[in-house]
Amino acid sequence: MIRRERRSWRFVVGVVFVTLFALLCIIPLVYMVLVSFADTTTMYIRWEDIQLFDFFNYRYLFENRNFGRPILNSLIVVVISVIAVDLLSCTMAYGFAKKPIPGKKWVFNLVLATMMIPTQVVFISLYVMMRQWHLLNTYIALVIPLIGAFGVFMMRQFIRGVPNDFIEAAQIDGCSELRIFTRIILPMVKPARITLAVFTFNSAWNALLWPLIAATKNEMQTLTVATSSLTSYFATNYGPPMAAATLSFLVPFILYCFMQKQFVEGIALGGVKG
Amino acid sequence: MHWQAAYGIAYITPGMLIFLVFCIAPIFMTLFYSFTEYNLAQPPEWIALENYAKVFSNTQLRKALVNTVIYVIITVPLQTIVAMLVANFLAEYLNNRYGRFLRSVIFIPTLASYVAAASVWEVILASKGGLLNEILGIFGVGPVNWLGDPKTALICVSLVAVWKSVGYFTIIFYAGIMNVDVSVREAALIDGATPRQRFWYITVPLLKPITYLNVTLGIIWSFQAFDIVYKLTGGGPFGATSTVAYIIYAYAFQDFRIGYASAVAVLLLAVILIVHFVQQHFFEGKED
Amino acid sequence: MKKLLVLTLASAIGIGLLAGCGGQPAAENTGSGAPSGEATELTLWLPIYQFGDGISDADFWNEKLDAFEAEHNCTVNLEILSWSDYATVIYTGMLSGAGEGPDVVYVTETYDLIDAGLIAPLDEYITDEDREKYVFLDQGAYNSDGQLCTWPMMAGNPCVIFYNMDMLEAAGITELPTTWDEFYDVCVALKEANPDVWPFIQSWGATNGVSAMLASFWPFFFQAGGEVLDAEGNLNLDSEATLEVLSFINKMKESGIFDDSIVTMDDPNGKFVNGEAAIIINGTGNAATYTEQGINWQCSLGLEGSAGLATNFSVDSLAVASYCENKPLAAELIKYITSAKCMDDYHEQIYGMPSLTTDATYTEPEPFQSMYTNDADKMHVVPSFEGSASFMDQFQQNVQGMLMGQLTPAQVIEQTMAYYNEQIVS
Repeated sequence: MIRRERRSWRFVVGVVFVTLFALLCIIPLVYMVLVSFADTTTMYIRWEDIQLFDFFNYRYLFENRNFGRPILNSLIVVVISVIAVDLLSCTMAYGFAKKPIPGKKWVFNLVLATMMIPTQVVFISLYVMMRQWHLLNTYIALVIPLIGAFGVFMMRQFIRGVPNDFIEAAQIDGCSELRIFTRIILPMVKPARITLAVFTFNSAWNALLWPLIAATKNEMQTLTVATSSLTSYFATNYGPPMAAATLSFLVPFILYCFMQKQFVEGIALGGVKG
Repeated sequence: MHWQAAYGIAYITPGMLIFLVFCIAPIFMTLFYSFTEYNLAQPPEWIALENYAKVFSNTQLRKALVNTVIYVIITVPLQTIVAMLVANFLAEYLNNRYGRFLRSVIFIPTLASYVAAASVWEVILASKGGLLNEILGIFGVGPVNWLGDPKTALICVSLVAVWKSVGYFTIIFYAGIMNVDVSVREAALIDGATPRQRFWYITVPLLKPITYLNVTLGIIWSFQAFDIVYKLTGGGPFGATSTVAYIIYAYAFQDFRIGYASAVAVLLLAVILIVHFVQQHFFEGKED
Repeated sequence: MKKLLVLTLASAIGIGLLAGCGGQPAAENTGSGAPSGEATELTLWLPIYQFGDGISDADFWNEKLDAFEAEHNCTVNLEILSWSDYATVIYTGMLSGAGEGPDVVYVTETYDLIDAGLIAPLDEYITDEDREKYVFLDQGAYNSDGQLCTWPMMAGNPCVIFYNMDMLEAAGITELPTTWDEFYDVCVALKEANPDVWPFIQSWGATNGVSAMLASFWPFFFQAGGEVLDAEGNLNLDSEATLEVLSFINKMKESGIFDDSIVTMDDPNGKFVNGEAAIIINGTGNAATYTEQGINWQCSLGLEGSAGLATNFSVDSLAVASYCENKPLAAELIKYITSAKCMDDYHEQIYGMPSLTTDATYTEPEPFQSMYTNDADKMHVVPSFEGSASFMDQFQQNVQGMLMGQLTPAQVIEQTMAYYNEQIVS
């Protein structure tokens, strides 16, 4: 659209800079994948140590370190949290956006204010609570802190955008309240829900602090925690930790490759509208 | 309409219950614990302001607070400015397949967890045999002990954090710029505005709400930096990279001094609130 | 409108206080001990010790436990834990109490566990016969009433000095040093002979203070005649011995034996294995790795400081949780695990350590077996004390400060003790 700058030197410098910047973003991750195929015992990683497509470090993780379990745990946590966050955020957001609840502005602001609270403040007491209710080392404990105000806030922005005419028309047609919610509201904000799912997925998959303290048993470790605890083991052999890091990176990455549009548009929608 | 209110309450009640119990109640519990001594084994013992008295004389914590502030001062402006410049260039001048490809690539580090990011950067930044020092060695520089020297450690930690999060902010700014009405930009073009003028007088003001959001989120997140410190340096060397969030973790979940850790957490909350109000003021002030 | 807000906040506080004060911590309601003795299920937590390719810890113990289960008609649920944040995992696990926590558990840091009343005294289950048979029994940890609370299982792994003989010979050194001064001279000679390698390496960049001090501080501390606790059981590190050790370490830094990366997280053991460092102090358990990696090593127990030859060794033990519903059975399980019947095979197949009982047949490879036989009295245990983990973290940090030229040895002690007294105890 703006053709004039195309040939200017500024443009060329800009392209070079942005390309270099993109390379800087990606090279460490390529390096991570390469080293995950390396068999090293030294700090020095030589190129000839890297045997691509020889999955010994990965085999080691699954055979000796039982990595299947943390992967399964992470997947379970992700699935439960995506569903729970979607359900709770949509219902609450609908109530806040479209229903004449007395004092809802106050209540909503209260919810919103929790976004300001550092997680550590909540986690200390949440930990005490979970312990007393014997919920530590359960999937419930791992999922609960992922439910946050952000989803409610974001969904409210989008549900507010649904024209009231639609809802009123449906009411006149005799649609039940639940039907309006499930058949009109939810489909209309589907892109936003996908965005929220992407966000939830990312934070559930990558969470470290809470799973670190709430899942003390090996069998409840998430992939992120398992990856983290692996590194302290192999200070000199970078292969297994890099393989674990690659595994933990792979799932979001594959998802990103297939759902790039949802990721990017989702984050853009969340960021710009929110 | 009364029915509608009842429906509304029905919609928000399940969520509100969860919020009250797991989000809001813990805040007050932590506030309560901050006045007690509590190690989880014996019941909490009320000691009034003793924890706070200790907090203010804790040199380790003071250092961590300074580190945290430095970390915020490095990461938030850098990730905001770099993201804005890159997004601006991609949206304005490289709005083609290559530009979109670059945008996709820049986003990729955001997908990695801090643990994965720190694991690989630890290898890259290793003083001996690390990729960065090997490369610098070719040019006869170094070796630099990136994570071991207190002068560079915190900067490295901050830069790794920027590396990881800049793609996220780029995407948001990119979308924001694309949302700016094309006619506004073309009008500016016809008026003969230079690229710099267009950036300063059109893009930046129009992006202000998004920038506000990004800076707000960036500050809140950066003040809670834990993962990257935990994994990359463990707070060392000589406490040069310990952050308040890391200290809270160590006090609460390694030493189980719940009361004391709560006091530090409350302090962190206070700092974030103060910074938030200052920032709000700053943004509003600029509008005039 | 505001009423609703006040109401919600009030209920939130209510819930908070309810959860905060209502629950009964595990340690209290079971402190008196459940006398039922009928429970026939025990949960056993052990850490991973198989670092090689041999039989896994779980397979090994499950096989051994079959015999115990058959004999006592009970079930033992085994869990093998990783070493990361081990003390934390144990503390939280035991706080969760019966059903979730372990009944019998391998413990490293004992002070907090005993202080919180989470560990049951073992005295009533120890017979005179046991006292004769189990040689390390008195090295366990005691509660404030003087009752034995932990039963040694892994006693040994003293920190000895490993020398890379190829490097020493290249520097023209044929005899191992015996005193601090000789050791220093050897380091200087090594540095001159080959400036590219570390003459001597320490682990001041370790992830936590406990592991940093293990091989880098305590051996020297005991050689200088230091005592960790005084007669009343108070921390006694504000001493001449500490100052002597720190000054020695500082001297090595100032003369360039250590370079700046001594304070990083880089793994010193890896440097020795790779031939990047000539001398390291480390547990005897690492000797096999060094041999495997083709290092031509020799070792000595330690150096002679102002108080003569000494070093530290570690005693990790088993303990019975105070909430365990069948303590006699748990005590039996501990005796079974530490008996020659299990430990001989364990030392052969999983991890070598000095034998625990007089009837055991396993011997450590030389030169270590002779160390246990001849120099056992020169090996000291670092006891667990109040806030020991935090103290050591702080100590490590301040030593890092010293190594970076920001603190003097005296300041390290002063600042660490001030922090300990103001922030940790009190």
